[in-house]
Amino acid sequence: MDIDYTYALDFYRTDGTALGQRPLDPDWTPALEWVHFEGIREGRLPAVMAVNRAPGAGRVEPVWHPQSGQPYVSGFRVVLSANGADAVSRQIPTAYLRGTAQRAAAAFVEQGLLQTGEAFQYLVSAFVGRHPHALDVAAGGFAVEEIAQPLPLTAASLETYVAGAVPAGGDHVAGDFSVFVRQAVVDEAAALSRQAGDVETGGVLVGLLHHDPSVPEVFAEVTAQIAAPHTEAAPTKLTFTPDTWSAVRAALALRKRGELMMGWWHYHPDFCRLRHCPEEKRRLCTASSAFFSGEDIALHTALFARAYNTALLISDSAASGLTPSAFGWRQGMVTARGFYTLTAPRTWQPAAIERGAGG
Amino acid sequence: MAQAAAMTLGLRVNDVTGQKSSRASAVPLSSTIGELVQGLLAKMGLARNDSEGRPLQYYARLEREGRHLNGSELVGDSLQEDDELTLTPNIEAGGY
Repeated sequence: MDIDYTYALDFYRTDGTALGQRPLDPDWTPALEWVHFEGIREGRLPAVMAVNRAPGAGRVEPVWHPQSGQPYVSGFRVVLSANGADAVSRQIPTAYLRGTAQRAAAAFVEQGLLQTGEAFQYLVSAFVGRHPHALDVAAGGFAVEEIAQPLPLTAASLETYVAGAVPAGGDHVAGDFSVFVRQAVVDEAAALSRQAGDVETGGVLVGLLHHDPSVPEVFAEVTAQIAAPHTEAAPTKLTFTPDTWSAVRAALALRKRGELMMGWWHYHPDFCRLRHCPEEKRRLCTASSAFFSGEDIALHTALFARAYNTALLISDSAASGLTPSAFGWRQGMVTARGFYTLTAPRTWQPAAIERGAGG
Repeated sequence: MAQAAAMTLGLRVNDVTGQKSSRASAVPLSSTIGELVQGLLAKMGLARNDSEGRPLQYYARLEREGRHLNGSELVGDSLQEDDELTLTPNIEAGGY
């Protein structure tokens, strides 16, 4: 029988002084989404993505701290079931709740118990019991039913792609979902970034999801980027407007290549130069390294929540010039990741599209 | 029952990336588009706030007419049975 747990965070100053406990209602959706995709990659789950899973189809259990024991938690085990049996599970770290902890710590700052920017520590605790979810009564009382969409997978050889690819971006972590980006996409994004100069710019990445049944594995190919029009651009901000999305969707439809919106890309200007940092300090400045801001993570989480969604960041700095890096989902968190560039010319051919079986 | 059914309609609703699609049924004709959008965001599990907790602004694009609907329009005046809507947000990426 599945057991429900409620969670809480115990906060401490770095000297060990207790600040207090705050109850949590974690959003496990990204974690469930990631594990679901892991199951699809392994061929254990049908290739259908659905946000709202049937009750009991997914659960999260605490992993008790090996030294402190209950109720303290050292991680979480996310389990997805299919046909009444546990199909796939993964363990995720307590870092999954880091953002939640930072937001909760703001209360201690307001109370004067913590200084703004002061470091703190937290422990996660779990207790048996069902969290009283706040009722969210939507206007009108109408019903909404998700339409389960099979992933449009095209058959391809992972080995062939790897043979023609060059590793790029951040660390390639074993087990990461592979993302291949055509060199032309990176080149176009860099050119648009150079053209944008001192303001941010960006676009949408489109491409295909491939399936290699011999492994088995699912991997992505970013085939093109669609520059985002109708944006509001500033040195540290880029707003994608409703007109942006309408234009991008229209451009994607015109391509008629069965491509998906795989993710997005955007450009960070040389913030050190824009802030007039002394030249001798720019090479060491943290703002000169590629990073995903809180707003970037929020956008990716809001719009590109599928576990296979990826973001490219073109960042400019005195130390490295224009540099591409990638961010994507790992263990339900948006993190820096590696990718591959495809340097060999690719001839697009309509491939047999495998439709994921209904779940 | 039949009279009550005529006072509502059904729609297909997509998120902006096309990765989430839902069927909304029994949408009251008397609702405003703004009320409909807020209800859809909640029931489809779409993000409603930005990283600072401020509400995101969403518009409903009526694919049949190729336009973004005004929040004050009424469902009964602007939409037809089986219309397709795309929920498009105003959303920021930020650097420093």
